[in-house]
Amino acid sequence: MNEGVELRRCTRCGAELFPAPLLCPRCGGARWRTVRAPRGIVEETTTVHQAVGVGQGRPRHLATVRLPGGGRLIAALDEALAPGTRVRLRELNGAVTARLDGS
Amino acid sequence: MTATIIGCAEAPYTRHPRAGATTHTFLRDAFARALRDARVAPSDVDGLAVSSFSLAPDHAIDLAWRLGLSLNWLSQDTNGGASGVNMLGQAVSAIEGGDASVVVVLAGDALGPEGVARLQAGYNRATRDHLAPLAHGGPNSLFAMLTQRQMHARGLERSDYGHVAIAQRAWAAGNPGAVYRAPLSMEEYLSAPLVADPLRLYDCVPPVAGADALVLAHPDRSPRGRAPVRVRALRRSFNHDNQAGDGLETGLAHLSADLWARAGARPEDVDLACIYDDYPAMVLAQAADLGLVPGGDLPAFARRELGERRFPVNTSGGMLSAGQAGAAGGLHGVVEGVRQLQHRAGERQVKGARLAAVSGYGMVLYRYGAAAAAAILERAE
Repeated sequence: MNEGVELRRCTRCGAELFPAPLLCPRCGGARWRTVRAPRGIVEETTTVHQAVGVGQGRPRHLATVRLPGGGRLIAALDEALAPGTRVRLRELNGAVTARLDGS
Repeated sequence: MTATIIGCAEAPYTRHPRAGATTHTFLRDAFARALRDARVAPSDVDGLAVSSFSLAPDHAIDLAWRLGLSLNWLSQDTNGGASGVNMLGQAVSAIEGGDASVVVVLAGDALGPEGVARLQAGYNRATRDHLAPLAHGGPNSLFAMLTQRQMHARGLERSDYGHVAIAQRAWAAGNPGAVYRAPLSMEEYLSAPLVADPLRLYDCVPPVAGADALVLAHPDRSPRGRAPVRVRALRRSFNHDNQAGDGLETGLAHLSADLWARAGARPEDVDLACIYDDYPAMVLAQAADLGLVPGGDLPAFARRELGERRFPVNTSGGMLSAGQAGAAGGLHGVVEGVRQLQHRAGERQVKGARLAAVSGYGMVLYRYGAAAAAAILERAE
């Protein structure tokens, strides 16, 4: 489990992107620096109660998280959090989880 | 050569396919029914376009072989909910460009619950790598959050989405091919089991097995006594915003002005609309993007135009009531639009329908759909 989420920062225009693109959608650049985004802000959350073909698992909390660079990603939460909550991000093999900042 | 739609059909949608029924047999049944409907022989068909999530390991040419078709034009579409309208445009171009003279457009899937779950978990690399490991449960969770954004941005309430689902269910009562036809009350809608808040059961399309088909050819081939349907205009949009927005505006917003100009019509001229309805929020978003919402007031549109059925939208019941047969969902609304314009829609017929707007939307890349297409269809007398 790594602290923060790995983003691609375009070396030409500075755009920060997740998931990793092949070319920068803003300037067409193809060179990146890897940066980590440790925190974000919850924009919306939902709790998944049921899903087709996977049975009735335990409810899953998900959030749309806004990054300081303006990008948004989808993260799993351990608990339901209100919009506007600051969260700490972690990533394991592409799976992003978010926890209340300071917890 | 002028291309028109001269026939259409569905392989009946079902939640419980009989033993031995597969994606391929549903596609075959829709194909055979459409040919019968258009009074065209298999040997007349020289073009085929197909969209399906479960054709693999086969490709379009395997399907052509197994249907016994020798073709001059063949296309396989991978644009999900936008594939139906997209293929319709390709078929028109193929005929008008002289590549083919009789084209069948085909879409269908028989995924079953496990197949739906597999498709949703492995939809693309971004989903497989970044969403499925969260056990996100498919697109419901993403559209749950999109619906929250739309409620906040447009002043919509849960009951406004209820009007979409309830009105479509009322239309479905007139469609023997819809899997859910019993009336739906607002109380039932609002108290249905939660799927992913705020989405409840009737906000989510029921997966079914089924297939849809169109036959396109010169209007002279249209069966006697039946008006062919002309595509007055058709436009598409792919990856309009690199997933950098909020998903409340679809690619249709970028093609709408050009679509209406090309059609030589205004939104208020259409008699009905078939709007891709994976979720009620997306019906409202696409209607707004196409300019079908007076004053852009979504709550009023939901309550009056849809809720009071002043403006016919998704008269088949849409996927929300008829069911979503995988990729056939992208063709479902086109087939309904054609039936309405040919005045063959039975109890749900919109009187004197001559002009219809149809849309497709889909391919959730990461947070919302990135493919959209729309067409203005006209009854050709």
